[in-house]
Amino acid sequence: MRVIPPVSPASQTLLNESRGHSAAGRYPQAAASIERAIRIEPRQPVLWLELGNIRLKEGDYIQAESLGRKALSLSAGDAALSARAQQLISAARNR
Amino acid sequence: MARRSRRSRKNLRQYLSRRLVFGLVGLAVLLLAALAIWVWLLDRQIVQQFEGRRWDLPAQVYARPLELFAGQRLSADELQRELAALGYSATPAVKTQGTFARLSGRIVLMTRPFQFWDSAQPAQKATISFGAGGIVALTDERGRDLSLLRLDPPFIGNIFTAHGEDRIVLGPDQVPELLLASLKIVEDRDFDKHGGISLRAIARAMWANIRAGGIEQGGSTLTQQLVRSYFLDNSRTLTRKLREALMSMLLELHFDKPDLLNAYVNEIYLGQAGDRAIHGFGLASQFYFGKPLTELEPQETALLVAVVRGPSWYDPRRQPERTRKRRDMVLDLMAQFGLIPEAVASKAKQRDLGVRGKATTFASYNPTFMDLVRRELHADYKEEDLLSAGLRIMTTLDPRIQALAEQRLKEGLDELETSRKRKPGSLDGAIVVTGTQTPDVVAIVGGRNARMQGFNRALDAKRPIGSLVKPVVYLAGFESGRYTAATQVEDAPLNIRLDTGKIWSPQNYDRQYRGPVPAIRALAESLNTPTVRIGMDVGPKKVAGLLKSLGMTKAPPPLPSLLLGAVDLSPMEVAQVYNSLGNGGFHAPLKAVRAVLDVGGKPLERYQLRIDRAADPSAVAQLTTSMLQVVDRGTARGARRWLPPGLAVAGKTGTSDDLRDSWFAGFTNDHVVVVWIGADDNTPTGLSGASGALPIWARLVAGFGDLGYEALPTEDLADVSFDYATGMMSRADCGDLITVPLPAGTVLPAKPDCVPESDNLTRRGIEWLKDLLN
Repeated sequence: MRVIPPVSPASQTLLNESRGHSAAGRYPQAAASIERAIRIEPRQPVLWLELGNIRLKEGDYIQAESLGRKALSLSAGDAALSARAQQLISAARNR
Repeated sequence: MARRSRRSRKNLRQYLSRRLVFGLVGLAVLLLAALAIWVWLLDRQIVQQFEGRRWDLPAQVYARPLELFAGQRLSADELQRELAALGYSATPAVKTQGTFARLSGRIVLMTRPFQFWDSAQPAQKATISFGAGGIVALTDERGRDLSLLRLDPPFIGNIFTAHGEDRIVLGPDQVPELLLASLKIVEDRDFDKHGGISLRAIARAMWANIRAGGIEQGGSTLTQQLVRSYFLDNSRTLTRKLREALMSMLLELHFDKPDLLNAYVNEIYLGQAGDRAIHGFGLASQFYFGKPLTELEPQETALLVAVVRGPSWYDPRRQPERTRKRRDMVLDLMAQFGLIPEAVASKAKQRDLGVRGKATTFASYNPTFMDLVRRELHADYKEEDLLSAGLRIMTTLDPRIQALAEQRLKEGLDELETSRKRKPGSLDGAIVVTGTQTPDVVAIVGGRNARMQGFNRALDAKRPIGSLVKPVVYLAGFESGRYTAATQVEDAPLNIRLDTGKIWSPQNYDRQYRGPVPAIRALAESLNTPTVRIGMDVGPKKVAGLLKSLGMTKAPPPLPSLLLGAVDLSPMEVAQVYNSLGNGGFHAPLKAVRAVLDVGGKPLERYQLRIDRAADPSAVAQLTTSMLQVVDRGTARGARRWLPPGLAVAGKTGTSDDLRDSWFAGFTNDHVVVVWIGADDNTPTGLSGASGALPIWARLVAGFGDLGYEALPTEDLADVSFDYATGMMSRADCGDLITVPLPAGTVLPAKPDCVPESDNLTRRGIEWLKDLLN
């Protein structure tokens, strides 16, 4: 089974930056930071999950669900991450 | 009578002279009025021109910024090349922005400040340490770890007008004082005093010209040169001279000296790159030195001032000696007038011209990519805004990959023409490169003359895609649940009754039929009859719908011929479909523009990463694993000759009827690449996908340094090994085993006489025997 690597320090910096923006309600900036991380580490499910959660907060449920599915497809073999992706998908679908 | 006549004659004379005076006065009044109208017209014209140009700020386009971080697969040489492209100067001690030092195993640099969409990034000094696999550490000035550093993005060029004038418009505060002062002493010493024309300068020029016996010195003021440049007229007629002098005086009446000088700095013609005219010192600095004007050293400033007099006569690339003499003269004048110390001038004169080669100049400037950027921006911006609003456009272009793609296409076409004894120039092609998990267009080549504006084949050449469609047919089969990669499908002639009543009898390319073959082999070897069988079973409508979900703008007509690729797509559209496959079945619209900032650096639009699920991820995982076999065992085996050993790439060859179009599309972990080769007049090329596009594709991908493609397994798949030729379970010693993820619970037939020893009892028995023997 494929092992999902931990988030790299570079992506972690951007993830923190993004969460700072998110907490302050600056969702466009939060998304920009995460997309920058996705370009650095495109197969990291944590990043796609984060982007999906930003879209969920913005009320873009269709994107939130798609991003959740993308995160899920990258999470095979990791039960915890898969569960978080499933959660995002159902949260987006139930709106 | 005589007296009377004398008197009347006198009266007549008086009368006539009075008429003459009146006439002359009238004529003079008329002429004056005409002159006044002419001057008024000239005035309007020149003021309009000046005001218009002042705000004529073409959009500036930037490539992607290079991200530096520990773990990145980037060598010191590659970073140095990027820095050179950015115009960073090598220096022993890094103290100013835009400089770097290469040490053993390390590069020290100081970035330039840059306003990104998300934040303003200040200049930063950093040390990057390299190991065998790339960057191992990144530290700041005080030796603290930096997790991430973004370089300033390479400037690619401007979106400029159709008549080919390109410029970077600078504000007064962005123009170094040394340049302004040097321009005045070299071109127009009375600039601060004259009213547009300078009689002293004209007299001096005439005297100099008489002494030299030729044109040595022009008597034109900077204002006159500016006017001349506005109207692109170099004829030497008297009216033109008069008009120019009048307009110069009028300009001086309306505007003050700093405004005029700033306009001059942005307007003056300073070089030529193909059909692109280089205007203004901002762009000229990029054109000759690859760096911003503010970073120029005295000898570089002097060179630009030298070129003003005649960009083709003093072309530093073609006429280095002549240009150097003039540059040194400018340096002497700089010292003589106290602009720089004597010692600096004599040291500067020792320096080379320092001009970058034409090949590396604007390495990333590419009309095809600019065309794509322009088309994307037209969705949100008017053409006028792009040409004049000073927008800053952040794009996805990777200059390294772009340069490589241009080079590989050109070399590849030349080679094909030579080996096939075709007329040189009779073949052309296109390449599109995108990310694999992202929709970023990182490179695009619209033809072998990449630098020429013209027919953009990557976007506009719609050609039959042939077998490139097959992966989508198999994907439809896998999605239906009726097929797996191992399912045996009959490879034998077949007849299909079309709606028109006609019978369609598709055949294999080699007219050979192999009997039952697993789907994976049928795809890898591009067998037509099994593909049509699967496609007819799931229905052409399903395949057409899937093509649409994967990114075709419009679903193609669901005819049986679609199953063998009777559908016309541009290389860009193919890249979109294959990007969705590489992306695990998620469709994300390809894009070249990331963000737009306004003239003051204020963030405007940012184009979001948007995806939608286009196909079942587990079906896509089976498909992309199967596509690896195209290169390992199928029609693209030849690519192994050029690819790095063991690099896993998934792809498909495509050939249209009568060998008119040669395609290869495929992906690594990092890039999706589409290559198309054909003739513009659509005549047969004699090239199949494997003989035409594939070698170019493989040699290009070999230069990327990418990781191999790894299909994403899903929870409902399990890896199964089976015999490639038959799709049956087999022992390793009597079959050609491949491992493919298949839906869990898939039961495969066993190959007769090759029954695998994999059942538990046998294995346990062998283990027991081994234990006993040891």
